[in-house]
Amino acid sequence: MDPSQVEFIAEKDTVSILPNFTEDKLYLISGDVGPFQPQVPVVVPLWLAVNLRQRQKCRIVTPDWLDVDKLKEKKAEELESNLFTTPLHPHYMEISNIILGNSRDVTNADEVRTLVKDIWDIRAAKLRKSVNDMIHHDAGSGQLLAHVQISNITTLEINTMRKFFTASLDHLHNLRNHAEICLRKYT
Amino acid sequence: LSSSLEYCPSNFISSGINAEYGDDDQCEQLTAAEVLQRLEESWINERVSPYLQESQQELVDCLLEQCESVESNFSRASSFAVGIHQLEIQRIKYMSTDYLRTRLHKIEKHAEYALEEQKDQDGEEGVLKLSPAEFVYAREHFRNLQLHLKETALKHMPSPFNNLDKKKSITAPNLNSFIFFKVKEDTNNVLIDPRGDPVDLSRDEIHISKFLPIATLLNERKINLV
Repeated sequence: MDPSQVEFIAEKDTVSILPNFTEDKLYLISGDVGPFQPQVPVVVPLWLAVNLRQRQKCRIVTPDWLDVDKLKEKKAEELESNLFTTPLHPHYMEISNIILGNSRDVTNADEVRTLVKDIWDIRAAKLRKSVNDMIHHDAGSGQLLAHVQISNITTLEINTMRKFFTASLDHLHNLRNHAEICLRKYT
Repeated sequence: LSSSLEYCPSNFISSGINAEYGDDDQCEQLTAAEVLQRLEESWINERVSPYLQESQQELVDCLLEQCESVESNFSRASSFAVGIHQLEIQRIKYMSTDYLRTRLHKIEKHAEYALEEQKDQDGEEGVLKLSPAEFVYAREHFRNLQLHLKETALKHMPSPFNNLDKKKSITAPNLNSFIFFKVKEDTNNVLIDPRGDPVDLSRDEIHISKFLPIATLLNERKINLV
């Protein structure tokens, strides 16, 4: 999958905005939004929030988890644990990128950006390590693992290494199977 | 202004609040939002899986009709509302076209395999993988390819090599390639690794495995590819 498509999917998630105009309720195919009144918070999908922000028709309310203290806590939690901790949000990277890119309303935007990136890097490192472990794991009979469970990982993280990882697993299994067949045939 | 459509494969009336998505013997009552959610899941499954999934053409048709009915109401709505509805319609159209595009890409890659599979399944119960239009496309694509190969190369070859051996020329998809999936419903005793033991799957777990063992779970919508 293309990273832009993963972002497209993330844009469906809802976010709170403060409109500066008045409008009636809108009956969208994906759900109802509104009615809009100035300075009354309204929950809308992210794609709509971004469009309204670009037209200067609203202010985006920063989500709870995109806060410096929360992020520092999360980063510490992530560093301590060997496994993946529950992500801030299933699409934390996409949403934080979109909001930081479009809205000037985030307090300490630079610090937030750095912290999110740090969390991403820590998780990416854990991912690389677990991929390495999986490939070198010996299931007791010299066979490669054909099934692994991994939890608390987000779609974008999977997507970064999906193509490479699945292709290499295919090749490894292929080679291993051929090796077994040859061994059986010639011994 | 409310998006409204009632759609069943056999008859189609424009009224009501819900989009009715029909499936041969049972008509499921789904809201438009649920149809959209289902199409999105099918789109993601289709993008990630190594081979064609069951055709969800009805979902696509239903959504496109919803879009048309929304568009026909534009004259009555304010320009602000029109802008937003148009944004949403563009998103839905992108998703549907990318879904169909991915399917066509897979059909072109494995045309012969898909046609053979459809032929084997004829007369059996179950949803066909190719929609009627896709079937025609696959057949024509396959014929054109054969004709092209024949005219450009095979015709000029000595007679034992003159024809395409059907069994050898099929490009079957690799159904054993690895995929990531997320569990939607708890399921017990699933044999994911044929050399291992059956495993219990609980909600919201993410697993990596080969495609073939979990293909039926995917059709039953108990898991989603990620």
